[in-house]
Amino acid sequence: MTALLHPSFRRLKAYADGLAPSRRRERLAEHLEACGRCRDIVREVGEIRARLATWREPVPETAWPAIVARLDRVAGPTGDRGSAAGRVGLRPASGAWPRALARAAVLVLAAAGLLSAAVPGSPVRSWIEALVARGLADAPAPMPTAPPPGVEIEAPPPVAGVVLPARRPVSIVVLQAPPELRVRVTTVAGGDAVVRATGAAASAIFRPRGDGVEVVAPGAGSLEIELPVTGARITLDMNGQRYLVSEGGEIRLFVPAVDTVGGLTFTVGR
Amino acid sequence: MASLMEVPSDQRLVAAVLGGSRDALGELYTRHSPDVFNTAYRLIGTREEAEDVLQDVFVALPAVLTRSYEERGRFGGWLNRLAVTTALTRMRTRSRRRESGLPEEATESAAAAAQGHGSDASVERIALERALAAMPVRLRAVFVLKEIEGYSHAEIGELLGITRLTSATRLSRAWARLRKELAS
Repeated sequence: MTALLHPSFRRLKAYADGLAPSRRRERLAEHLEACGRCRDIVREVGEIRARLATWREPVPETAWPAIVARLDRVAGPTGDRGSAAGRVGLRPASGAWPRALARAAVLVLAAAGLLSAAVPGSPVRSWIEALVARGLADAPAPMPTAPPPGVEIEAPPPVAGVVLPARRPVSIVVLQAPPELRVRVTTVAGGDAVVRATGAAASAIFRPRGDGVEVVAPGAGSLEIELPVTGARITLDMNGQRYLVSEGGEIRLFVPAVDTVGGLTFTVGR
Repeated sequence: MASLMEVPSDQRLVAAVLGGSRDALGELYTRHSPDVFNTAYRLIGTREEAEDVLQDVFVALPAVLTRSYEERGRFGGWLNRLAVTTALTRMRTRSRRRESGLPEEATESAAAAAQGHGSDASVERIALERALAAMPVRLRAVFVLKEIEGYSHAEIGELLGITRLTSATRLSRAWARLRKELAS
């Protein structure tokens, strides 16, 4: 008896998508006539595609009013609001980004890091990094516990972060770190290096540098650093001292660390 | 003869937004918010977070346009890429606990469907959402970007910082996971 050789799923999917070259398509069609298993796969792919094509969710009605409210807060009482007919709140001429806009762009910051993973010097990344760095730097002092009546203040962003392409050497440099800063390093199999500042550390300024990022003056919160062990060489320096080097699947430590489940925790020295 | 009302192009609206027009921003929102929201929703899997992405994109849009937009190509494509990168960042920065769990909405929808509140089509859609939500983030991102958003493996590689080969491999794994989930 002759064994029936099944085409790979990728080829069957290409057939279902109409992307198989004509000669291969003919051979696949012949095979499908004789093979119920592969016919089922092609049918299944077609059904999933049909479901995906019609998958549309309605936009929440609350979104636009919320955007307008946030833009109004960005513009502020003395901001450039323009006429009563409505103008967007653009960046004040002083160059000081309001906190709300910086917050809005925090997500876009690391997003730009993703964009630039393969596009070094991407203008989007450069801009957003500069934007967020400045936005956080210029952020007002910690909120009063009880804001004045009628004044709505957005809560500070719980997380600030940056994603660094780990396909080339990356340096992570933390400056002016307080002794109370908790630094936790975890490893992942692949992907990018990620630096997150949470809690009080989110007040840090994330400043791009040629081969990575500088995290300047984090508060006494927590820095979460994710290192892809299969990526390129990554170094972590804090307050002028080397803490670790990750390279070729190995991590070399230069300071004592507490090895907990799934990660390393450092105490920041002076 | 009735005259045709001129519909401003996206480029004209962009120019108006740069000039400070919130009406123009509103028109861009009307045109493109469904795509931005749905892209974010498919990537993230919860309406709440997808709305956050939608808000962040449009709140930041005037400033982003000021600094980085170039009139090359389609505005919708540029905006979609901004939505994708914003959503991906949110996916990466949220807690691992949330990432590993099913979005509550999908679970609730599925429960409602199981009680007979959904049509066949909605049950199928929910099953698809659940299957996608159960996927690891790295696989779901590639699947959604390639199979729904239409990005090439090269573009996905740029967005995720991975190689084209890795993108293709993840796509194959995503399909395998999806088929397995739907079969079960």
